[in-house]
Amino acid sequence: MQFRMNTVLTNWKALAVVLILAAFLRFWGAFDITDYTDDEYVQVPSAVSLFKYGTTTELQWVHPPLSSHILYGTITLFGDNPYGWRMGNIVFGTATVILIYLVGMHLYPGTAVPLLAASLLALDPFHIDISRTTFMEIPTSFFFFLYLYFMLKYCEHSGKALFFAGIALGLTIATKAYYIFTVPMVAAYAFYRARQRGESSGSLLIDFSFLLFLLPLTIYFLSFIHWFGRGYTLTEFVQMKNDAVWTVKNLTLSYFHASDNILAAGKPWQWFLKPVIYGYQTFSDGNSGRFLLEINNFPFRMLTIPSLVMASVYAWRKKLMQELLVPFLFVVCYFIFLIVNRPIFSTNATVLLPFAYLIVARTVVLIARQRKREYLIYAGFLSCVLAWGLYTFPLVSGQLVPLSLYQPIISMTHFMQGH
Amino acid sequence: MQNRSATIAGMLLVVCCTIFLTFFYGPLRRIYISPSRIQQASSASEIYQTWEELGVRGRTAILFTRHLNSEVSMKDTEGFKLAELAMSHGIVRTIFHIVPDNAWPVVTENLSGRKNARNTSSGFALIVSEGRINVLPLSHYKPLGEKSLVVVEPGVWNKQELAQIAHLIKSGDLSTDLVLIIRGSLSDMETFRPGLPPPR
Repeated sequence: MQFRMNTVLTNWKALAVVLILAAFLRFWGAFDITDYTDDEYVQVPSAVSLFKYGTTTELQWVHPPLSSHILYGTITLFGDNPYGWRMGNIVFGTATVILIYLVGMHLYPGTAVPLLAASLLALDPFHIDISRTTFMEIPTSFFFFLYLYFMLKYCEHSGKALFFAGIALGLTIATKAYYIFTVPMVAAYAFYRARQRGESSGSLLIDFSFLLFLLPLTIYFLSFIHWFGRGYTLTEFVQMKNDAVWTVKNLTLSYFHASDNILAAGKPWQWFLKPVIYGYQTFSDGNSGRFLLEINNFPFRMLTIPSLVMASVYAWRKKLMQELLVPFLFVVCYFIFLIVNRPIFSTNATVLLPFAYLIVARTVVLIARQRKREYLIYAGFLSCVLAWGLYTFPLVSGQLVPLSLYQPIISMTHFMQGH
Repeated sequence: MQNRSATIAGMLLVVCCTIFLTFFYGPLRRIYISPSRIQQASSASEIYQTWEELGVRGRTAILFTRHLNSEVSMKDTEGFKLAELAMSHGIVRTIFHIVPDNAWPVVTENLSGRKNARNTSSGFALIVSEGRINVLPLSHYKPLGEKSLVVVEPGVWNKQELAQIAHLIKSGDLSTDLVLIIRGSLSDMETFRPGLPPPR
């Protein structure tokens, strides 16, 4: 029985089931809303403007433009309609589930961690919600985890993995700057592991300089080809970036159209500590209703901080360097949100979720291993994840739901006006 | 790492492409007009229309006016945003708005309260999504080495300042291929015509 369960938890068929579920929950009904939702009213016109005139609109110019390229690409393929707007994030959001599984396979081989973490992400109502619109956090986290995956492959043996890691890194920094501090941490870890493998420091420095610095930098600059095409030079690029940092630093709540959302979503330190539900009710007849809510997956997210402590202490005591990597990356990435002195949207938490769920999954495995019925715990945990994900899905996707069944959630919801 | 020399060669090629992109691609995409010309315009919308018809792209514009945008001519074209429109449509990439020194205290007061106005060593930079609008008094203005689109509103400058602007244009210190005179006379056209010696 134990052997069979072990096989189930670590084989590709299990991943396929999770992946189908992830894709279904991201695709189904995603194109039913024919108006712009969330940031689509900014990001879609901005992407079109970038390709037409070389300029983005509103605050989009402070971010690297790759997400606009992706968005315009899907608009070209599927048309300027909900399919064209949302298809990119649906695909990248689903593909991130594969990546979290693959990263989990490298860091925690032979355990249930990859499956548990992938299931948590696949069924997370918050990640599902963000994946069904145009938020750039989805492609950013996908590219970063692609980079992390190739770097972990490179840790095991040299080859072409470093080249692909460099491309993924370039795509990451050309989308958004969330992982600016975690990227060098991963590189430092890979350098250390490659040295352990017997590679010389000199050759590693050459490889890393070319493939993890120059190659990503080139991709980053290439993503600005429309901007440079407006007549700009490198000196003006530096000035523009300087202006972007100044602008972002000076943002206040009054700047944002959706300032109510920022207030309702709470501060970054609350993201993993308390339930946060807010959003819109788009229809109600007294017995049933349609909702577009942002639910921070609190039953599982609130396990993150205790899990972080437990998984880190375990890895530290056992001197498992590779198991310290994810907790370390989570802390470094989260730290930026905690110290930055400006309004932050809760959607930013998206980039932390894969780390958080790997940590939670690792802790579940550590706890389960101390019990006799280890696999019963996994089955129970996965059932809870599945039940919660399916229960909350209608609320984040605008499906018609009976109000009585969802009263516990609705009573906790901060409803916004004006959808 | 296998095939290190191939990797290095490939990367050097990539570096060359990056250098080309960041140093030469932008300037190559700018569109100038030849021969250089001077003409009159009566409003901000006419300035935009002239730039658009002449097909200039990716340029720097130097506005020697008192007000920006709809207020360039201080009369019609209510709500016409010359700067933002020209920048968002790729005609102009950067604007230098030069105002008379005696108006600078008022300009400073107006801009100090704006959230997107950044202090610079010479004045302010208005940071908008389309680009950068540098606002500064004439006394702080130092010409760029780049050929620019110039707009002059003669009525808002005193004789000394007008002579200074004319000298900048005629001497070639302020290189330009198009000068637009707002609400000016025919004699203003001669005063600011590029390439002729400055009036004595």
